[in-house]
Amino acid sequence: MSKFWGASVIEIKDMISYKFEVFIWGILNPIMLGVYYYLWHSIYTFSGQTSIRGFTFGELISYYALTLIVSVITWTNVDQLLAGKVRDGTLVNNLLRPLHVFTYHLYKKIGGTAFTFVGQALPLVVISILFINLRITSLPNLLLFIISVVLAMLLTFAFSFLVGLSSFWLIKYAGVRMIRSGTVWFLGGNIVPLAFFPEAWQKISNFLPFQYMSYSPIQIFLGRYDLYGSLWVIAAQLIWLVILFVLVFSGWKVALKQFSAVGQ
Amino acid sequence: MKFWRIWKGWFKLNLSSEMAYRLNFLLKAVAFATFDFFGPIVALVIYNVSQGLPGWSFEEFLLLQGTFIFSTGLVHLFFWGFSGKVIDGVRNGNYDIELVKPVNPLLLALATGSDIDGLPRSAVGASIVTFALIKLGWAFSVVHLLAYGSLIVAAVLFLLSLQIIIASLAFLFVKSYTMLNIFDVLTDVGKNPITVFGPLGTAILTFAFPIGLAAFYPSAAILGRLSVLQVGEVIGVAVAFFAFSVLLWQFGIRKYASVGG
Repeated sequence: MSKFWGASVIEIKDMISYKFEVFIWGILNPIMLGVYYYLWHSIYTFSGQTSIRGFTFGELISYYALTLIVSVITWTNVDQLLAGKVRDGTLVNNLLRPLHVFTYHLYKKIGGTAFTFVGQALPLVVISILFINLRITSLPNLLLFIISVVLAMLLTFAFSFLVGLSSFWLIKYAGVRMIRSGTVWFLGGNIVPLAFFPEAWQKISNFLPFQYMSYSPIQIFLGRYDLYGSLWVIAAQLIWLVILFVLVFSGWKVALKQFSAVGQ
Repeated sequence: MKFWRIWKGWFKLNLSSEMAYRLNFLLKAVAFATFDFFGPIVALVIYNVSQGLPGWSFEEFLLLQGTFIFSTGLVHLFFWGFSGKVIDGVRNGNYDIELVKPVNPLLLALATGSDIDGLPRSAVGASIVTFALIKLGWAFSVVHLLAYGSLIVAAVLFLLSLQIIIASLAFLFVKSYTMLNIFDVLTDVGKNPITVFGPLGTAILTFAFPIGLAAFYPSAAILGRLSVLQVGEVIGVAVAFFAFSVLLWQFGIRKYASVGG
């Protein structure tokens, strides 16, 4: 437990020294929400539709607000950090610590998320409640949503770390990182809800981990799944988590053999 | 001339350094191209599930998306690295070295700001624009094409002005990396027809923060929806914004303390 607190507090202290960078997103996220609001308001008004693929305008804006809130919680740059350390050889410092690199960064991520939640997500929650009528559909949905978001955070983190392992073979990692973040962002339903995509696409999505990183937890919050459906989402998240954890830890052993500690 | 000579030299250097890591370059090119296709895919989704945006057919909206990618891709190609380099120099306190060189510091910074990653982006943007125009059955018009070209140049000038403003703020506040995030978010507003933001929003995005230049106005021009006067007005706004950014740069550089931060 002390290791967890130690790593988390380091991250929080780090973030406090860059508080402007953290808090500015408290302003930028509402601006992004405003853009979605006007864009979709225009589309709904012009089309004269009260509902698009089961989403009323209010539900869709709530969806985007939740997307931004969830992304504050799930966002991670662990792959970039790992790649940087592999590249300059400083990973060796982490290897000497009595904590696995994955676990160390996960603890830091949790600490960092606590801070960014206050600085970035909370303003968005308040604005969403006041201006776009974001409401809790039911207490069980809220509880299941919280569990699902925590799992989504772990999933995103594990996936990013797994992709970051490729930096042991690649000298420059920027390209892979872009592909990773773009894939998670797009296939996670952050730009447009997956329900708007063709059915075939949605079926394929069910077999990929990305929808469980953002889209599915939000669907739970919005009450679009019944209890069974919500529990199935959480079960799927757990299954993916086990798969990714196995891949991360077995991949780590292979990747570490490539590491020379002298940098690249 | 001197500017372009330095720019060319820097571009070659940038290119050879990227070619040293070909796989990374290829992956980045694929990533940029994929990212840039998200806009058109979203357009396809929007028009598939609804009637789309008022005043913009699917092909027209595609043209707008392509134009946005094209103009931002050009800025990326020509000047993208500029503000980051200035911020780095100011933050580390070693920007002095740029000041003693026998070239205007702003021109030198701009000339060494090219980024090869902008090339696939511009190419994707140009392809989408061409595809959309073919789909629209666009009747070739030199006037409309000239208006489009002029407005693209104005768009690049405006986006460059934003970069200059961000770099200038580094002289005043030292840590202005966050401004790059602000730049990204505000620039993204330009992906949409600015008329969706209502009359006040349209006025703001035309005159106060003319991000409408990034896609809306060039697209409207090539579709023949702007008069010559309107084109001139919008170009005037871009020039005014550029002049403001240069003034801010000159003010900022006088405040440069050389101590880092």
